[in-house]
Amino acid sequence: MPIMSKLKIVCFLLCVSLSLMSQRVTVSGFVTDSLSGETIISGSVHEKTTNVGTFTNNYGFFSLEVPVGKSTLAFSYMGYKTILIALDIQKDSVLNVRMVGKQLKEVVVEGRRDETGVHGVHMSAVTINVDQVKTLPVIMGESDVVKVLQLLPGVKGGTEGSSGMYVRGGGPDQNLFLLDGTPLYNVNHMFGFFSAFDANAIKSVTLYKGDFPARFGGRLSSVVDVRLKDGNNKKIHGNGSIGLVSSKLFLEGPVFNSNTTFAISGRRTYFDLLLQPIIKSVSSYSTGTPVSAGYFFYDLSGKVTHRFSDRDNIVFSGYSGDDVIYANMPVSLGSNKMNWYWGNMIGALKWNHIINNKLFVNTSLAYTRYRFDLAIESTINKNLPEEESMKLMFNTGIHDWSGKVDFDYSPNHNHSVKFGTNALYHTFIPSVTSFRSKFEGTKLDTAFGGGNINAMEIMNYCEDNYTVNDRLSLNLGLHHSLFNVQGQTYNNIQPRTSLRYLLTDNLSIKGAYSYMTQNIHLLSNNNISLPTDLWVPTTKRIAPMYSQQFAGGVFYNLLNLFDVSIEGYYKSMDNLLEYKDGASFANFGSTNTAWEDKVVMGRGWSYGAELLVKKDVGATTGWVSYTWAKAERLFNKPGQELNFGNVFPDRFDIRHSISVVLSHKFSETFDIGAVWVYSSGKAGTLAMQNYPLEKVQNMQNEYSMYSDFGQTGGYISSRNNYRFPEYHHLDLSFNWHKQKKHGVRTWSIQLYNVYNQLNADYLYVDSYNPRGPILKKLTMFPFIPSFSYSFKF
Amino acid sequence: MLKINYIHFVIVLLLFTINSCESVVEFNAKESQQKLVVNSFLNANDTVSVQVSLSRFFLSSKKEYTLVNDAQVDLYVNEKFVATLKNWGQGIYSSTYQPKYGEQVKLVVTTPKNGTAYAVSRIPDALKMESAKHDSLFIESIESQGQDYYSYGENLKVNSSFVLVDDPTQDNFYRIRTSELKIFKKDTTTTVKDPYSNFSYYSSSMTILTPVDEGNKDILGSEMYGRTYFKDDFFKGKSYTIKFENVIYTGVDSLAQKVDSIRIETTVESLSRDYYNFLLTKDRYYSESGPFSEPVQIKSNVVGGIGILGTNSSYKFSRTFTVMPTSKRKY
Repeated sequence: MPIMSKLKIVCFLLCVSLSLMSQRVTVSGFVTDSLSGETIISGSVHEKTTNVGTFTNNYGFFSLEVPVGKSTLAFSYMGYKTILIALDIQKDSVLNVRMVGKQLKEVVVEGRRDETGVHGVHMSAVTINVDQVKTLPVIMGESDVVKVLQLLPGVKGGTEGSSGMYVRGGGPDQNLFLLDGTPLYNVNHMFGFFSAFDANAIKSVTLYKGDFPARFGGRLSSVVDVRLKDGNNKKIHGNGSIGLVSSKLFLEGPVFNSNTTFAISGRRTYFDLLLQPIIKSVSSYSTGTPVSAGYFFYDLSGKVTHRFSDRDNIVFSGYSGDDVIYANMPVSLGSNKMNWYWGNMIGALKWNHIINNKLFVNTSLAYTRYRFDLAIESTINKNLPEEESMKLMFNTGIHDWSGKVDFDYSPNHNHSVKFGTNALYHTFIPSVTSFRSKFEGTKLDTAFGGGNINAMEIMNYCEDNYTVNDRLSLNLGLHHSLFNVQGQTYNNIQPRTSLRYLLTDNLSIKGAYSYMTQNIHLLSNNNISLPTDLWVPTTKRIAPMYSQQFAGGVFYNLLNLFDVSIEGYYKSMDNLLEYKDGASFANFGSTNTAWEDKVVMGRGWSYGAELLVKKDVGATTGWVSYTWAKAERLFNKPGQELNFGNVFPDRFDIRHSISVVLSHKFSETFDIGAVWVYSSGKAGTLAMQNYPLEKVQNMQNEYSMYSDFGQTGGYISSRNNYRFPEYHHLDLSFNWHKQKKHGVRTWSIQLYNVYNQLNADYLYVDSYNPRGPILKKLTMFPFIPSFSYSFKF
Repeated sequence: MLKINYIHFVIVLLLFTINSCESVVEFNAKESQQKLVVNSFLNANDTVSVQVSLSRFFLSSKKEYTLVNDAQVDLYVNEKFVATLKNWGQGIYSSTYQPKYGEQVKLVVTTPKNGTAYAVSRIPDALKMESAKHDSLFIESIESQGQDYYSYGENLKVNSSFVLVDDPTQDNFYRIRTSELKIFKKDTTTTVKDPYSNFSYYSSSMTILTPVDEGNKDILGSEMYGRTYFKDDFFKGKSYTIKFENVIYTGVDSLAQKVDSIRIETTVESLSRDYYNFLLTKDRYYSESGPFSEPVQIKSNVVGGIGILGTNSSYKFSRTFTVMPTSKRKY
């Protein structure tokens, strides 16, 4: 055979084989839990021979292009056995997979991949194991995902016990909390000691703190994506607990058949009920009038999911949570009452639709309301024909209506594209005070304060997870935001990009750049979360905040057991808002100025390094983290100076932080949790010297030593010039589980601050000490033991 | 009895809980060194005087400040040595030199134990006024009643205006102050003794009536204790009319029966930038420090120490109003 003919045959065969190889089909479907039917979020789907893969989206859907013919798909997810499925397919197919949970101490880690580990393209992101959250020690027995997030590197809590979050040098308002994709403004209860999230109702929590996918926007420092359970589609299950502070109940199950599921949860504290007799007794004893007063908070959330077909389902979800302070004091002919509410309400309707096996769409309509309503009412004489009364009300809040469409598109095995748009109509009520009175036949009804501010916000995004080759993956994205307020329009194009280069199968390096903007601000004086913190929008005078963040890191998977990461970052922030010196939400001084006149804008920057060693499999799980960080602020624009235009450290400029978080299951019936945290001191402002501000005006007048009423002042060398003492504590929890006839009951004992470290939460000068003034610290949480009872069926 | 014991138990438990959370913070005094304090307020064409003292550690049990009488205080004008100030005791040093408008003054304070500090400031140029007057005085009766108090008195409402010619070559900073002097009737029959009789004091509040742009709200109206500070940001180099109203609580009722006349005096001052910032932050320090607010930093321009070298030039105008009977209380 002539050589040319042989070459032609070889070329022909090569072309055929290449053609066959390039022939691909799409496999799509949902990944669910085999027992509950819950969809699995961010589960890994990975084709073994070609080494291409993807992750399930927030609704458990995946779409992956595989070669025609034989292939093997691996499905893996933290806490589940890896499933290998051999396929021999010639056309696009649907494959729904049910994953099985691992047994105790079973370490099956083959092919384990997750979106934020060595193989995932994203960095600076952590997914929390919600089951582990429940085993960790907490104050007064209340499991809290936000407090667990505070234990991650780069994240700092506010005051001890608070649910505030300060991420990589950012402020507490720079965190976007999403509850099933809908923003939640106030995530705190009880002045920040508890978060609004009930761990029993949560399916997954992912924190993004540096490398933000383009689908997220609106905050500078972090995104906390909380997904609630859809509800078991097999049978009714539930769990509940009774603690020292609150009790809660969660129920889930099918409605009529497996196509419709529900999940509801409720929680309420009962401080007020327990303390009511004491308050009444004390007030009767001291004033002769029984006063009814108390404080409580509650959460209610519900979700109903109906599956119309393999391609369509509709989800309705709602949340309502409020903190309430009330007081009722009878007086001779009337009464004095106070009612104070603050909290959130969310309602969302979502439609998930599979257009084809490459294209998934989620459409949602949502309403969010944050309110802060204070009403003080005094009935002076209720015996008169026309009751005499006075009522003072203070209101602030936000109402948001939003419509959103999100698409997931997988055109081929190298690309996974997400794009969408989100339109929000905000109504801000910065603060309104109203007064009504009926007195001696005269009626007065007046209101003063800032008017409502309406704003339209539109966000568009597109991101592509691009697998360049076996080693290199990119996530390229653009986020556009438009904010229209008071006739002013702010447009921002925000590039986001990240890359991962796989050095070996267990080792990768990553880099990321994120540009973020934020159109709403939280005016806050404190490092505790007071309900008096005001949410205010960008206006004609107040520009949007924006940040740029560069991050890089090394990720290593050790023995398929430990995920080790070292990250470094630099973040710059502009148009940060701070109260002027001396200003606060309340007008204690002689001035009565609008909020825009009380604030100044400046910039800040932060940089640091973070180490995380995490173990998610086996009987012992947990992590160890260390953070070195620096965060500074500069407010030097003319007329907007703080610290006289000089650089000063941020309040949470904490140089060193260490967290050790461990859970160990000794058996099916007993496990323990331990948390140890250490951080160097946070910063605060302290006038360390006093000095006269005036001199003698008349040198001959010996009795007027200091004129102008002898004014003296405190010398403050710089804002945040003082370092609090270092902070550390050890917490332990012991959990005993027992299988009963109808389920599992658990007794838990939690020991908070085991060695009774008296950390300084607040400092004050005790001027009445007989030996002279002394500086005292107030420790809010010394050693606190607590217990709780919970059950699961 | 049982009820009382139960309440006592709860109170004791609460006190124990609260007290157990309090403890003393060991504070190393070396973290904050004592500072040399230099305070001097200079008017054009007035003698120079300075007070030198030492700051006091905030946890010190001492009640008084240490006044420094062994310092050497040197005065420089336009960078030339003029005089060493004489010590008069009480930490006071003075010189007979009277700085002129536009002169740069430097004070250098050298102490044997507490090092050297200095401050520099320029005396502002003379204020230029096209006109200045007190337009009207109105007496307003006030009455208020609360659960535990009843008060009655009269307020003076004074409307004034002036036309200021701003110097275009520099940033200018101003302050307005108004005071009143009551001239009592010689043969008053009332037995009430007015504690403020014949005492001049500052206006209790001041409102700027001049219309300002929305964006300039914070330029005019930095009002503290009846004193108003403002900058020339939006009328730089122009003649600008400022109208304002003072409300002065007299502390006296039936004013017309007791008082012959009232003299209203307004002082408009041109301040150095540092002095302006010192006064603004000092007033804010006293008026706006709430439990939830950031502490206020008081401006200092003393290098190597703390305190202020404040300089100003001032312009005064006054008018005496004869107090009329109640039925004709519009002037």
